[in-house]
Amino acid sequence: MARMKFLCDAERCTECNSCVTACKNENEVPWGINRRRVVTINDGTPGERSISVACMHCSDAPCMAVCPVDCFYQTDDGVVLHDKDLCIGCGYCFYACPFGAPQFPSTGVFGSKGKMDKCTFCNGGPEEDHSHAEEQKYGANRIAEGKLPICAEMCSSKALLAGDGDEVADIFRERSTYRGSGAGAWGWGTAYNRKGG
Amino acid sequence: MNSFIRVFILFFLLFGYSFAAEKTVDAPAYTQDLKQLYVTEDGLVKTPSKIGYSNAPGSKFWRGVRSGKSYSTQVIGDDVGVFINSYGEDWRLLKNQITDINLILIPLALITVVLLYLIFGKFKLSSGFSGNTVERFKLIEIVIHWGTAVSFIILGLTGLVLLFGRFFLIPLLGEETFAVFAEFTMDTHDIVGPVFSVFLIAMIIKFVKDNIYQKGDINWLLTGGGLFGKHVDAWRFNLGEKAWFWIVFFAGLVITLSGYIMLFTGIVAGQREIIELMNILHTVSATLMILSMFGHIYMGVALEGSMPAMTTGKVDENWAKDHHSLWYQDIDNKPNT
Repeated sequence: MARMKFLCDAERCTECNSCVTACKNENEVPWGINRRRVVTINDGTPGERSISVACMHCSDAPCMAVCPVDCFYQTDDGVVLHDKDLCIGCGYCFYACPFGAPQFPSTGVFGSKGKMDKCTFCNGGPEEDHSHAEEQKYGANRIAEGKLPICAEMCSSKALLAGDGDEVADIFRERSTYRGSGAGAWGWGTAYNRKGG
Repeated sequence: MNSFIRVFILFFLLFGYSFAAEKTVDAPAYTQDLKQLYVTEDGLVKTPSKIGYSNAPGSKFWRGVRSGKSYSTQVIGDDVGVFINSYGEDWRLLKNQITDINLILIPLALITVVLLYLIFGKFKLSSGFSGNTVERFKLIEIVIHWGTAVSFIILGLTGLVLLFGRFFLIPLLGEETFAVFAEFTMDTHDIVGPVFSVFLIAMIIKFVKDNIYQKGDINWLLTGGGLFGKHVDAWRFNLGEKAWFWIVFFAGLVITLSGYIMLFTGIVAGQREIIELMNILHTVSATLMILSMFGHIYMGVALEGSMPAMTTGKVDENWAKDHHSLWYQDIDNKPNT
């Protein structure tokens, strides 16, 4: 099997938020939960860049390490998933996560956090594949259908890539070679008013 | 507000220069600034020396991504504008260190007081019980004490389960059972916490008057609390008891404030930096209080005639003369038989 990865090409992301919308729709994500978000740096200025951020399914996931009830597990493909039945909504995974992936619906006692929800790489959860319970709790299980995450499928500029790490790396490398990267990128010198490609 | 500023300074020191350096790197707001920073006539990169980082566009971008600053995004929530939160890992590692320390210190403290009790036994009164008692604590003081004590013990136990229950109780109970137990533990902790805070405020108000340093208190320390050099004069509370009060005062207030901030995340402060700092302060204060608590309980149990003070409110006259002679002289000591 392959090691699944996300890659968001910062050169191509246009901040259209299609990935955000597609994810919310496909996984029937409740109000207030943001499995995926697009963050824009230098918004409105010539240096503007956007990146689509969600769970990065780390190899050595800090969320898994810090959970007090050990509710995380990792599939053979490298996808980091968690069991909502075990989750107590303490929020430690959110504090430890570098990407702020874990989200909480505030449905606990006295408005406290409630069960954690996060990007599942469209790979469902510990429930049986394609069962109603899995869909209710974790959203779509596209990987089990042989498809890729909906966010990457819907990306309008193909900035967001998801899937087998080797293939994603190949695509990105091809792109970088074709268009040039960093100071060698086409138009860079014009954009930043310096010597460049 | 004052403690919040102190907390902020502590955080600043904790995460050090790198944090400060990251935060001073600012994205140019207008095209003018951009041109100023990047362009010189001979095509060299112009880097303001006070920053000390390269101003090349690519490196600036990724530094911004790593900085933990909040940028613009279309979604609404806590910390959604932050790209990468590098100090989450710092927090986790620090928390692990504290957990490891607790795993050693807490059993050590418990074993120490048990051993002390087994070796030294009860510390007897110099002339036995007289049979006459004097009032030491009023009912309200007893209620406040036990309210604080019981709620603290509940909070301490539930807190310790949240801190390292994963390592001991999952092998014992299995994942599902422990998850249910942990959820109950966390809800208990969240509810008893505010209860404790109310009792704590009451305790501070009631007992602060008698816990200010008084002349002669230092002698208690110099004679090792009466352990070497027999009798030492003391006021209503000796220096040891006063030290315990002030530990409860400071650590208790830190725990309460940090606890409330964590409980009402999003209302008070949603940024993870703050919540992580609160968590560390909460854990450290809790450790301090738990360790001191063992000493306090030991004193109550090992010193003969002490327990009745907090159960009936009345102590034997000889106990008062032995342990708090100056207080005994001051109070209206008509004996109650």
